[in-house]
Amino acid sequence: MSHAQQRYEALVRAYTPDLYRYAYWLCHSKSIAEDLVQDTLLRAWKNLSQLQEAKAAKAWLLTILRHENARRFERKQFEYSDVEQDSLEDLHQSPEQSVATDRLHRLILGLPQDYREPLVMQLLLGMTGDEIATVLQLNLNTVNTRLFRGRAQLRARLQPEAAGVPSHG
Amino acid sequence: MDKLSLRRALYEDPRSVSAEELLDQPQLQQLQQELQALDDNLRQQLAIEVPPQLVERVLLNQRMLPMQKRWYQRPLPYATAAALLVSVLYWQQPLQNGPTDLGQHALSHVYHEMAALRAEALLSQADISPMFSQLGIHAEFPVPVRYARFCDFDGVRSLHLVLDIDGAAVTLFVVPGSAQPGLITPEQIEPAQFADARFFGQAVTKLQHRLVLVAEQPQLLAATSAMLEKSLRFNI
Repeated sequence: MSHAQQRYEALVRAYTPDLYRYAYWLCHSKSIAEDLVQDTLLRAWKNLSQLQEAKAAKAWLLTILRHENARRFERKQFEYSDVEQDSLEDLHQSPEQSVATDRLHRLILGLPQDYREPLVMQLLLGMTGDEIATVLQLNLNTVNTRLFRGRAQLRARLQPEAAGVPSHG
Repeated sequence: MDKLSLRRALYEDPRSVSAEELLDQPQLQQLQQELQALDDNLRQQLAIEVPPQLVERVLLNQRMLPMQKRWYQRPLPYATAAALLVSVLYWQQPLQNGPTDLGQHALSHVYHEMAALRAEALLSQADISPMFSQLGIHAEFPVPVRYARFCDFDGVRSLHLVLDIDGAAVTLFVVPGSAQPGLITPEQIEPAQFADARFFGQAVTKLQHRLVLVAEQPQLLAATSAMLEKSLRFNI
């Protein structure tokens, strides 16, 4: 097996789960998420020489995936009729747990994408504000404002009787 | 940091504020706890289940990549082999009946993706249904599906599946005719057969779609065709 092939396989095994989950929260569909991951990793293979440092791999792959998602909209090839069914799948839970997690799942999906994306990067992928800013091509203050507003909206919607969304931000 | 800045910092990242900074701020301490609990719930919810075998499918597609080049982009031995295959198919014209282009393309596609015939992943109904629904088809297979992927089939984005029929691999291409006006011509409405030295195939038209089957044993085509009649419902 060539060195490039070994390097690529290590990359695929390390990052496929995170890429798939990130793609799902980006496009709301499991089948489209899988296509996005396939397209992202095939493009990564073709451009593997561009990746110089292992620590840059996650941000590099996420950038490719976001470009592939943008290309998807340009091609207008996909349909969205299966979004609801995809997003509501939940397994092995009691009815009470299921209702609670369905609600949180819907609330995450209901967040504006500008707020959802940095939250997913921070909570799911463990990225710092600076790393998120690099991938999203934003400054750190904007990323922090979006994290603030995303959490505030979720908290307010989960506790409608509470004080509500903080106005500062 | 003043109270407002601390509050903002907590919403940006609850873990970024230390307990010392909140010593005299019971309301903010409670807010930190609530936000950390919210983050825990969000992390659980965000970590959706990853399809089994996804890594293997990615690696399979990557390994097949060099073989997806056009024949004229390949080294001479490959071009020679491609020319030989075309010749063999030409001299086997009596075996064929109908759209030779479609049959030749199906056979070439199968040869190019031989690894798909050896795929062992068992895909679930939940994996398959969304792919078919993109083509306006409802599918419910009583047999295992080992491979499913959208492919370029002669310039048309089509579904490529490998079904397990009594332990043997049968390839099914679902080619949406509506994606390429003129793909389905009047003479292609009738069922057509094709074959080469190894594989047998048949193509049938269902509303706007061409269903192309390829198998190593001809009797598998009839069995699969009968199964598809009951398993597929065409909405468009």
